[in-house]
Amino acid sequence: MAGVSIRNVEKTFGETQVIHGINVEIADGAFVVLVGPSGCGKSTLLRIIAGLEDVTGGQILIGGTEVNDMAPKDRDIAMVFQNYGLYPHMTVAQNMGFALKLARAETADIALRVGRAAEILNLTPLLDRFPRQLSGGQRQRVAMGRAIVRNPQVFLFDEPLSNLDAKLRVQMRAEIKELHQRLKVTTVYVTHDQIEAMTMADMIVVMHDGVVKQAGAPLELYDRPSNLFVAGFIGSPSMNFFAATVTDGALRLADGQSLQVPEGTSLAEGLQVIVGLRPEELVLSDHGLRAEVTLVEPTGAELHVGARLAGQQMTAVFRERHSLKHGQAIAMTPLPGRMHLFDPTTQTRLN
Amino acid sequence: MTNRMMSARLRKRGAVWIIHALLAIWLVISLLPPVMLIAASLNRTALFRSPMDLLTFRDFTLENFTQAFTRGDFWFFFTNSVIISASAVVITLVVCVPLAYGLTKISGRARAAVSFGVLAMRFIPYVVLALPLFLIFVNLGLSGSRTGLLLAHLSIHIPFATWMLVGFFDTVPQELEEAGIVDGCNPWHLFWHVSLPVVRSGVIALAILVFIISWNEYLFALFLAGNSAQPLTVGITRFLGGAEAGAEYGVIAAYAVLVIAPVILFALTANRYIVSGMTAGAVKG
Repeated sequence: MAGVSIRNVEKTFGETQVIHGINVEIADGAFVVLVGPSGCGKSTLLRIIAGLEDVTGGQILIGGTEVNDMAPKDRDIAMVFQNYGLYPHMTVAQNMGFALKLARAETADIALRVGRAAEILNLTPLLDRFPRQLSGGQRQRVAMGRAIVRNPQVFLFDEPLSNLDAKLRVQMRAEIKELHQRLKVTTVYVTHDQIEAMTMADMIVVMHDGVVKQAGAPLELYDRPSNLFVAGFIGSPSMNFFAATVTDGALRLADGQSLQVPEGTSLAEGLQVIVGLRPEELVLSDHGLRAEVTLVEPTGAELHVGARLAGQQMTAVFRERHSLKHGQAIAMTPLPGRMHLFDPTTQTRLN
Repeated sequence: MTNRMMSARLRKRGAVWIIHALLAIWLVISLLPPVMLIAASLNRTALFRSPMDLLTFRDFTLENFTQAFTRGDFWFFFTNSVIISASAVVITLVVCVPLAYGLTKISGRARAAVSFGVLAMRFIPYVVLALPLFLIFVNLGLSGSRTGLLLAHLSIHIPFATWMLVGFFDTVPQELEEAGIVDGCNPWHLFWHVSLPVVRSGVIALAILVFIISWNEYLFALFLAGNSAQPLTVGITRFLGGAEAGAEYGVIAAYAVLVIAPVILFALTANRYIVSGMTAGAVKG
């Protein structure tokens, strides 16, 4: 096993620069998720680690060795592709053993290792089937089996669950995480789904337009997003943002309502700020921000409420079953210490 | 069941009947010529007035087939046809499969240029090529040889096959080859173990098509085969006869049956591949 270091990596396709100097240190055995909207460069970065793309600048190290000029097969990595990438003309066993066969391993050794991997993934009864005879989830497991048979230093996953239906996705998510906890192999996982990122990762790397916006533990990113992009990207439903001005030591919103500046934060009078409030970090109260209910969506576990506040649409999520109606006036306050303040120009966190 | 559902069902059943009836008519129309051919080959009557005369088999005989074999030198022409068609298939595949695979790997303008060049060969009617080829072959001493005729066939097959195969190889998902690269394939492995097996049924279907086109080819054979390399399609013409003898339709029919029989048997056994080749890539692997 080995850690992965990404140092000042840049990537240009023709005239277009898609990755602008990225630095990420991935610890040995960590589960790292690269997340971001489509086109942010996360898949390109993964393909660079795999060796399917060259870097334009910078260095990739796996286990302390620079691999920039190494072929993928010499990097000791295994990759699971979005569409599984299974060889349609080979059985499950042949798919899983293909890399070993190319490496001229002994037939008995191949069978042994394929058998062991199949056992881990409950694929033993399917070894003689062809990919077309398998369901989506089974194909996904074969793709994972093909990766673990090689016993690589690093696993790379490129949006592996995006072709599965919602229920199977949750199940496979758990399986992948379990597999990681069992094998403890360094894993880099690409997804655009922030829930996947939150639930699976030891460390999340949020990317946008080819730069890293923030890297850290999932809850760290959730609790203290360092900029507006991460604040809006992590969390579902997304954070509500309001423009405010520091007036008389309070945060005054566009419609004149005001919020107290959180404790331990000092802001200059007249400063423009953006206030971020997570939907699930609001509580109903008698005093607080007044809003008008526009939409009530009970999910059973939670109550999602759409409302108009300070001339814009916002969302609140309550665990309690308040009885609210369209058009009703409510008042909300943020939970203590759960207010996020950002600078509108630099978009960075203020508190 | 409600009335509306009933009537919808009846309407649907009616539509199915109409479609089946149309298909049946079409089947009869398309089967009539080959059936007549077979019937003619089994009748003694030299001149046919109406199809119905043939189908009664009043003058049933196998004499036409004997004539075709003996007077017709069947095995001589058959050997030429088999050698030329089989060689055409082998050479076309050996040349075109790697060529097409290579074309899918080169990018942008180069590929477009080569592909256009290859396809442009298809714009030219064969008959336009026949005379120049004849003159070239005479000068090269290839006229009247199987090699010459084979080369002429390849000038048709290679552009056609390359164009088809590029289409097949294009259906191989890039991800599959990338999986191969990560698994440790070198370029040869990618071609032989990953891409080629995926397009296998398409390649087989193409081989069959090439064989059939060569087998049925007449125009080049007429110009270029001379006396020693004539295939079956030319051989059949010797029964068209002169002015006074008239054409021996019974023997011609028997001969024609013998010419098409191998192809039909071949196509029936390979049917599975032809169909799956036509739909290759229609469903993601």
